[in-house]
Amino acid sequence: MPWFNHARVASGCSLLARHRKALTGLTFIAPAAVFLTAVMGFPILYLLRHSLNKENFANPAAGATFIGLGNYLALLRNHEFWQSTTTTTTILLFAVAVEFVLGLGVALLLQRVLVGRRLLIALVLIPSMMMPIAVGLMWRYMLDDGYGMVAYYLNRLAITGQGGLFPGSILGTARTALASIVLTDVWEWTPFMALILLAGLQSLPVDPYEAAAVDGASGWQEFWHVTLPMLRAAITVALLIRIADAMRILDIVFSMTNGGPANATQTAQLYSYRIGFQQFNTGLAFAQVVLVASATITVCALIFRQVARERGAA
Amino acid sequence: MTTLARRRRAGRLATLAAFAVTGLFLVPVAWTVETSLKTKVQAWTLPPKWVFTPNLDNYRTVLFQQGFLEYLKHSAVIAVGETIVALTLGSLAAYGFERFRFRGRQPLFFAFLLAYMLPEVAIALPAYLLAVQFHVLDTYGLLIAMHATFGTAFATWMMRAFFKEVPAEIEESALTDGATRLGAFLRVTLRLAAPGLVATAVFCLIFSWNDFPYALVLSSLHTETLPVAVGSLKTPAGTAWGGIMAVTVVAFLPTVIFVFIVQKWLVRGLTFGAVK
Amino acid sequence: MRGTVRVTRLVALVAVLTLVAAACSSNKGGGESPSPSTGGKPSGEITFLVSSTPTVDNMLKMLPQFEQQTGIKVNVVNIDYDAMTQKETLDLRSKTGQYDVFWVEGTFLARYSGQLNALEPLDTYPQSQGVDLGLSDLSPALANNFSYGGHLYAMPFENTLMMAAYRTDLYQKAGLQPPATLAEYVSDVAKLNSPPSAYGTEIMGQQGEPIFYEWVNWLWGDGGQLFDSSDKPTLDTPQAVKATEELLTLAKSAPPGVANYSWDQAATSFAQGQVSTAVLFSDQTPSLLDPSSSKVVGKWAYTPFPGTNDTAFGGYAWGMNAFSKNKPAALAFIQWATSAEVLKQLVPNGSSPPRLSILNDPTLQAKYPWLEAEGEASSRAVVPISNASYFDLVDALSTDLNAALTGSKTAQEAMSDAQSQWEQILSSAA
Repeated sequence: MPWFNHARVASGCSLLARHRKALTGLTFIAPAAVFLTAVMGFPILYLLRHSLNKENFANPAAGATFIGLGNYLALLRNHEFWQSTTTTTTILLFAVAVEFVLGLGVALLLQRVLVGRRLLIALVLIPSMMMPIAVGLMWRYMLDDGYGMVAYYLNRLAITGQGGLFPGSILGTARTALASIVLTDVWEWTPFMALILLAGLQSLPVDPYEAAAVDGASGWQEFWHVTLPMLRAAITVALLIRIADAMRILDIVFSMTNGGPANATQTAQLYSYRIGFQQFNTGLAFAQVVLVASATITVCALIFRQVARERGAA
Repeated sequence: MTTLARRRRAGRLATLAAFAVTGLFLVPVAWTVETSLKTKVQAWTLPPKWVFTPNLDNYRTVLFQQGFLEYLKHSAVIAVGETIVALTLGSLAAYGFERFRFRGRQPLFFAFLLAYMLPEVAIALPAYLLAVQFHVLDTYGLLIAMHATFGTAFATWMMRAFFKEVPAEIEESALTDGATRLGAFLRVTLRLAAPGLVATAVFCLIFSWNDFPYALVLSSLHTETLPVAVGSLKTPAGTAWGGIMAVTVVAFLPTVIFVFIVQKWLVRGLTFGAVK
Repeated sequence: MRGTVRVTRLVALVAVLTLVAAACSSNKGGGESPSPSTGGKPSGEITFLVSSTPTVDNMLKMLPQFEQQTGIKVNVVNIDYDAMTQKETLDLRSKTGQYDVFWVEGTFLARYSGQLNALEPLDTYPQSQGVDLGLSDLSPALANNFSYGGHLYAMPFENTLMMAAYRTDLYQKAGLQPPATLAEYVSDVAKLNSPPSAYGTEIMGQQGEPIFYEWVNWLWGDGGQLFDSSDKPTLDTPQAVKATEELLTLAKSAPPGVANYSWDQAATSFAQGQVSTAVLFSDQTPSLLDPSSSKVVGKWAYTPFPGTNDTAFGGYAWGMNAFSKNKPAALAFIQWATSAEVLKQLVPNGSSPPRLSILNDPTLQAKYPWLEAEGEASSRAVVPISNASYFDLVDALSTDLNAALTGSKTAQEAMSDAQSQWEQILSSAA
């Protein structure tokens, strides 16, 4: 196996040669690293520094007062902050879970398709290619209680509407509004998820399957004990990217409910936008961003480390 | 039933199911296309009329009277620019991460994903201020750069997985033949991972094309992109649904066409190199 | 493999060409317009930031005339209304002068003039340039809505009032007169409520500005106020609670989705014949008149919001950037766009003219019946909040109102919460 050979060659090299190798590697990484630092460095430093201020961007005369962790403490005591964070997490958990299960199902189907796979892939990708802002507007229209197509059929099926499971307006009631956001996100991103998982499925080696067949494993056992563990890499990539995306949901909510009803669908980034770009209370907005981003990064880092550890052990 | 026959039956079922699922997913898309071809009154009738006489008025209005052709151009230029930057930087970085071991490799690799996790809204404000300082506000370069932060992070992650599938021995033989590292990378590795490049390119294009927060804050007269412009169709006096649907179709059509063109390579790329 | 390489090369070539074309198609920094000629005629280019409304769109269609007359090029940036203040504030604060002329509402002045000092006074500056904007043709109330600290900072373009729209045919059939008091409004609406084919009324219930504007008329109608004479919030009052409860009563005769209705849905709802009565913004009139989208053409009329108290003013005007790099041209554009000649041409499509000469013109009134009601309403339309913390205040109050509307808070709870939130916002802003 290539890695093995590589290691053999490397271990025979001197310390200098190994350092030179590391340097070469870093040279390849340098352009991207420099670019990312240059473009994101100042903004990150700026927002970290200004999160320690009490300031209003639209009110320069009032100046900026240094208040240390004041904004952070204020947020941790603020009901709306916690509400937007839990809302985002709720949407994330439901959406990513459903996208994963559905996406895996779709990927498995696509893998076994006999004809027209290329056509299907191109077609099924369309939702992921549509502008989120337009997708939000589209679903808002389709879920309009009076005139929406989806609402119409949901009412007929007595899922919503008078006498249904969920009476009350779809986008005007907290629970169904939240469900609508999840539904829209699932519709838009399942194809993306499916594609990454399909890629993973396609690259699985054949041997373990043959061994399983010899052992007389059933389809379900095969899936659970052979396929899933080997799909780990693809699953990780898909999950990390979707989690990072879901923490940043803005467009869909902006166009569907504007955070309503009564902030029930206000996501973290929408909250940042309102504080930072409408009220221009930038100190507070930056503090909120730092808190939310830290949470996202921690979660993703944990997943990343866990997977790396498992892969090392395997 | 033999394994072959069983697999063929499963295949037929799967094909049917796949088409059914795809069809279900595309119902809203079909409805979007339909609405874009309807007049305002037709669009508001319930139960939804699935058969009607289509007309292209919405497209005419939106593209030629309301300037969406211009916005389309802006979106396209920025998306293509961003993809090129992201693929170039990302591939180089991914190669560095995959082929070379050094201390702190994994943490640095994870750090690259940071660009993908920070909310755009927060980055946008300081970016705006910086852009004003350097007089690059409302330029293609600025938006390409901002979008490319996402793209580069994503491309680095994706391409690393693709490079992993390229056997190092092939590169080694190129090196022993006298090629430089960079040469080997370009001529050997990248070529073999080209399908992966295509797959990554498709996603990079999509990200830039659909970005809303950066474009909202940083674009203006010279660079207004489609996602930002589409909001202008939602007026206090009523929303031009037909127009919005028309813009949506105009927006996803190029990407769909592009995917159709590069299908073969996209699928091959997404097989993570199962060519072996 | 060869095929892959060929396609890749082709794609790369196209991409590079596109980039080169982009780079060459001059994109110098933020909309710097060429410096105006000192003295002499205004010329050059200006950038105009606006949000689409039917009246604005119709004015923009006439833009070529202006450009021909004056040789000034007007670059229009048309954006989502909800993103407007963000773009304007960023530009004004950074003093970039990216937008020479832009959309200003009365509620923006506390921030744009008061805090940022970034608007050019439109009473003194035109005078200094020898340009007459025809300010005497504006009612004092209207001019006041766009003034701050004693100066006029934006030239009115659309005199958006909140009017009670009602279905003349349905009212006639039921033998009802258009409501003259709040109580009549509520009872008329209940009488005409016959779900699911037609409802009594609709409410702009979405949190944010929609529900705020919907509610404040009722507050004032019931004799309540947002602030007292020493600028302290007075939301926890019986009148405020009554106004909220009236809204809840109306909701019983409204379609189910109103808790998420924004401006556009309100207009559509009435225009599609879904409701018999509604409080609309007068700049939504075009959607009622347009036969391609309205099912109620010829079957509706305006009556001023019941009662004689203040109503909310939602009009917009054109402001001039104090950091504009081409002020003479900006002024010329403002003068043209708000002139009687231009405004008169916008009336047939349903605009709400700000000029008294047009509002009170008997021939026009005869032809366009809504003008008369608008004239009466105009005399008592005021900007609801003139405070730099406008957005914070509206956010807090509207969320509470929406909570009451959706049943998660009682009217009393909503008002008490709003009161304490407002007190907190105002004290921390001080």
